[in-house]
Amino acid sequence: MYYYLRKFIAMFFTIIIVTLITFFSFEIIPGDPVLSKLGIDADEAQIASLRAELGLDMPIPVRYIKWVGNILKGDLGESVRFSLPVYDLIKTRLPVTFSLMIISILITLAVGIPLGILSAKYNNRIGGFFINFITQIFLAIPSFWVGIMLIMIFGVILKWFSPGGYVSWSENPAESIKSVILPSVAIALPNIAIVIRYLKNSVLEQMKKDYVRMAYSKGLNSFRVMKNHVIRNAVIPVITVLGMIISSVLAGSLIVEQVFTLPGIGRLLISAIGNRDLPLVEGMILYISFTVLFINFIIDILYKFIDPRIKYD
Amino acid sequence: MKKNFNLIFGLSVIIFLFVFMFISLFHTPYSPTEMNIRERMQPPSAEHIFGTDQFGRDILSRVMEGSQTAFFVGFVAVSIGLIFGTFLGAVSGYFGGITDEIIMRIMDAMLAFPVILFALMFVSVFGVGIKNTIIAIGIMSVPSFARITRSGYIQHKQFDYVKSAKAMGAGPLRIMFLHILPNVISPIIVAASMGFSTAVLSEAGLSYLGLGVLPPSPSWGRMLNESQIYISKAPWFAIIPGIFITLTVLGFNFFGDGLREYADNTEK
Amino acid sequence: MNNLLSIENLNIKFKSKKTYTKVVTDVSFDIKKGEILGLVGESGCGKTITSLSIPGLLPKDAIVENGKIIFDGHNIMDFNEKELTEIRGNRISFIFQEPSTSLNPLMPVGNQILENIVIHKKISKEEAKKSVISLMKKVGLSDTENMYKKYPHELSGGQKQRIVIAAAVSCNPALIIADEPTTALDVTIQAGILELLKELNAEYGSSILFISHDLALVNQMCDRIIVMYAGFIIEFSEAENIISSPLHPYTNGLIKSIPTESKKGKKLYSVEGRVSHLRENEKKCPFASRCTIAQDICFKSVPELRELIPGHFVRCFLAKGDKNG
Repeated sequence: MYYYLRKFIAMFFTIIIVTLITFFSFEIIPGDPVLSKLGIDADEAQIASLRAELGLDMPIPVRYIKWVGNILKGDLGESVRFSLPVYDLIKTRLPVTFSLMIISILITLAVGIPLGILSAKYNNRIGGFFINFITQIFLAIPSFWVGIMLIMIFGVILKWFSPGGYVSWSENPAESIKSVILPSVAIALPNIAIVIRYLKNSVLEQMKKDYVRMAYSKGLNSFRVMKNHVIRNAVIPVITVLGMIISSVLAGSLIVEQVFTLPGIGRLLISAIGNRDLPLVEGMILYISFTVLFINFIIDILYKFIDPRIKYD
Repeated sequence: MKKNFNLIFGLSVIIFLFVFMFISLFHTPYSPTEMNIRERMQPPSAEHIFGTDQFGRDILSRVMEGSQTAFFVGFVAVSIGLIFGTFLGAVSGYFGGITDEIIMRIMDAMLAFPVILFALMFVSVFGVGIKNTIIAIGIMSVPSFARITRSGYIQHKQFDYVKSAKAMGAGPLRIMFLHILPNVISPIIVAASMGFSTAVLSEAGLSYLGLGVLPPSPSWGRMLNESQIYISKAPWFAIIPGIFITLTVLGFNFFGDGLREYADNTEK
Repeated sequence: MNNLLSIENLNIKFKSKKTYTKVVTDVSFDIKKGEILGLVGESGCGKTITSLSIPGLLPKDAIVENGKIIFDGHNIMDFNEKELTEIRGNRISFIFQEPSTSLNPLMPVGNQILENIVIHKKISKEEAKKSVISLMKKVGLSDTENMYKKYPHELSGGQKQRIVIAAAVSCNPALIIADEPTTALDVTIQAGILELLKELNAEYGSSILFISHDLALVNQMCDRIIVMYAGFIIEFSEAENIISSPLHPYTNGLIKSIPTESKKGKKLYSVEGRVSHLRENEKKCPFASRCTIAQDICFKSVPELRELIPGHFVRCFLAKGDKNG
């Protein structure tokens, strides 16, 4: 119980820091929005009344609390350019980014976990060198460049399909997956390397444990020892890097959406920055931050839930 | 040093890139900015070993100049992170208690965030450009230095040499930076090497999005952005800058790993 | 032939960076059917390595130079991995020192016993499960149905060790190797575990190789005792001979350091110094540097293990046939 409480307080504290930074960045630093709205010729009375209307005449702490209150009500502000609530704009873009992230994470785990286990098995001089080198390269390649290279290979050279654009799931599920698979691979690549490296060490760590020796002494062969004992113990700690992977997948999709012209959150954010649509940027930063924090919190909870050692604490 | 492949390989790559960058300060085969419409999108040849771009500019020369940006961004951003991170980590680890708690909660909060997201927020408020790119990346590299420094300080503050320095009347600042710091410096250097990689990757990403380094300063990320439209006509244009980004990141990652190995071995 | 296991001239070394460390030198002994044989020595004396080598469980960096391990008339050294897995847990099983780390933390304890049965016996899961429950009762656990589903961290140290023992005896093995089975446990629980081992020995007739650093404990449990030092067997005889008339100065030291009623209030004797292994080709008595009575000869060659008194072997130049040598 103490564990959950501590994690909850940590999340709460982080949310406060995030809101404070966002508040100061977007509400205080950019200056007085009234002047830009009314122009420099506006008279004092007009300015004062608009300031009062917008609540800008109040002291900063009060403004902060009101601002947080609005967010809590689900009001993330309104886009200047689209004159629409930020949340509505995000909602239409969400499925794209979401499916990108899900597929990237699935690819990461589906490829990373088996390769991680295998690389622990072949961690001899040559194998270990090879694994180290390949994963280092995966970590070093920028995902957007991988995206460009994939477009070059599959779109330009092999002409398997015309890259870019998004087909929604409800329109055509097969085409939908096809439209996000290459960007997902591009995003997954460095994360696959993270999982392989982490899992390799985790398996090697577990192999030294007494229960492995005990399992061998019972007459299990090395395959069974791996399958029945080592893998589960080695994979559970991977959950702790999952939070990092999810935030790295998110960061990857912000950029890779641009490469494949996918109409997701990333493109919305980049164009909002380009258009200086600050309320939209602000709302999106808040939304993305909260999502990242919430996912991290869920992972912390999940970790303790899956590991029976902690369940009864 | 013997048989430390990571260190040797990483160092070789870094030295190669550094020399590459250093030469570009004095000489590039062509002017990196001069356009030449007649030589648009020339494939690699004896005159232009990496070919030319959509304006007929020599890609080798542009990549060379781009390495200045990469090194500059990496160096300054890491310095920011190193100075502030080491200071915060030292204070946090040495004093402990509520100071530590507050600093580390903030660092944890920052670590949970993708560098790129913060950088996007930063440039949207303060404007696009190399200066803000560097500051944003620098700020986001503070937590990793702070964490590593902190754990070193927590370990070292209970050692006898610290106690005896204290007994001799040395003040906390003196103990922190003259006595302890030299003993915990190696993991910090490792973090600096890794931080350099992150900075180069982040800068490339931001510049690719058009929100990092602005023209006329050449940047590998920006070159990739420009190259994408011509991907079928001039594939080399999209390949070369990517290779340089990867090579730089690879070099610093290997170097960092090698340094860590080296430090671990000498400690034993 | 009533020998279950004979080890002949076993030599094991470890590879470390450039040099080799010899951890087991010329070890030969046998275990009779149904007997409890004690193996005593400080940690690092090679007793665990010797025991691990029996069913081929040595760590990868250990090299067996030569030697034979004859079990039931077959040299196990010639067995391939598949043949070894058929013996392990089935004919030869282990009880390790640390019950809290010997069990897989993520597997219910019942399944960890079950696993041992199902890989060796072709019986249905239900039957196997039934025999797990009865084994758990046999080793003195109560509320077995419930405990079957529990994870190791929910059990006490003594309970965990009983689970380990239940797994070890589940296939009715001919030989049980118990490596410091009570060292990690509270003194109050130790006695129960030792009693259990004796019972199982009497009931099933399994031989036990009982390994411990505690000579008093081994004396309590065993028929015959081997004393090892720095990879060498230095003394070997019936338990009573070893205790009442030790021939080797090291054994003598061990006995002097056993706390007894009469020594109450006095400072306990201890053997000065630490175990150091001989380098390759180094010629001296392995104990010479710690020995209080060592003479020149002890530093010049390695003493042979000789049968000084019928049935009583010792590896010492200076030991004499009379009492308290």
